Amino acid sequence: MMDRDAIHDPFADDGSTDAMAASFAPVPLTEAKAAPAETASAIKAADKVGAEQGFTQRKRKKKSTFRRSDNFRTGRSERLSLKATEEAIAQLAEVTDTHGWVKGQTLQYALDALAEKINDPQDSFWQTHNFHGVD
Amino acid sequence: MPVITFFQTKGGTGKTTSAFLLAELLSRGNSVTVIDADPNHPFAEWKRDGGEGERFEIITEPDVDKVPAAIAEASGRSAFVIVDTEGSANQTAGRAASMSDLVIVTSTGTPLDQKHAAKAIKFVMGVGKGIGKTIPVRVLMTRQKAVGQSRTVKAAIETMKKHGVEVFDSQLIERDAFAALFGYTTLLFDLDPAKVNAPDKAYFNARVFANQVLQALGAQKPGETPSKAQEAA
Repeated sequence: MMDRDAIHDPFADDGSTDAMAASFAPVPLTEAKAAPAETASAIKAADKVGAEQGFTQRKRKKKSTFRRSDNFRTGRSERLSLKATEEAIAQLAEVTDTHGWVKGQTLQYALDALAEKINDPQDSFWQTHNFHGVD
Repeated sequence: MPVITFFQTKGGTGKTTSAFLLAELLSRGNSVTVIDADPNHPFAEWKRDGGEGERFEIITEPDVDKVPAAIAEASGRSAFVIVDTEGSANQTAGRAASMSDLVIVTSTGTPLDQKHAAKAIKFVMGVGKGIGKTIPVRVLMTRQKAVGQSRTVKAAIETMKKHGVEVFDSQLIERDAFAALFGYTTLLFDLDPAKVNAPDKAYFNARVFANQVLQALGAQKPGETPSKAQEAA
């Protein structure tokens, strides 16, 4: 057993514990890296007993196939057909491409922005736009 | 070379703290690799949160398919491989236990901890039976009271001994200094003694525990192979 006084001193030599610890050594690298049959059978046994005792596996299962619907749930499923000027169509395409959006997304943002303007009749926007009848 | 796995199918029993203390103590005398196989990565978090000065290597590997190779490779680099596992019945922990030279099952002694300790021990024994070899397993009582022992804990130890389960004489006491390891992200022996109660008692406790683990493994004599020493032990 260790000397109790020495044990209380954090800087003291651990004596027997350190000497015992120092007596161990790594296994030769060639032995360690090889997959010994003993290890393989131990793992097989562990998996078998684990399955019997209801051990679970934390590993996340990978999906076998990628489905667009797994990641894209936008709710934009209806078609919209409308007439617009060439410039408006070009502008829509430009804004969409610049931001890496899709056109339906740009339309939604534009509508959201417009809703803000409508709620603020004093906005300078209304000085250049007239929505009374056909603009 | 010895692989020591801390294994308990229930969480909160002191596995990580015990593994940390053992890694720190053994790394004072030899090379140590810790395989952090808990998906919460407590060792990696300790390091990320500012832990420093450790003499042991930390490998984070919770993947069930990769943990055996990580253990095998570490045993070629370090004299001791310590595996900390997640407190649940999971395959990663099971595989690590199956490759171990010593499995340490932690328990506070409460009936629920004891139930899971029994489950872990039965698992290790089942694996040993499957491969025709005894995997040494010992119970470490953790988070124990400094003074007095409850009847529940006494009864738990008696029951285990009655069933031939080996229990470390040394117990880890619920010490302020042990909690501070992760609170202050420090090593036990680098801990500011002013910040915790009775650090000297924690040093003593940790050293006796490490000493008993080494005794359980059986110290190698110069020139002796690890397996021979363990057989002798």
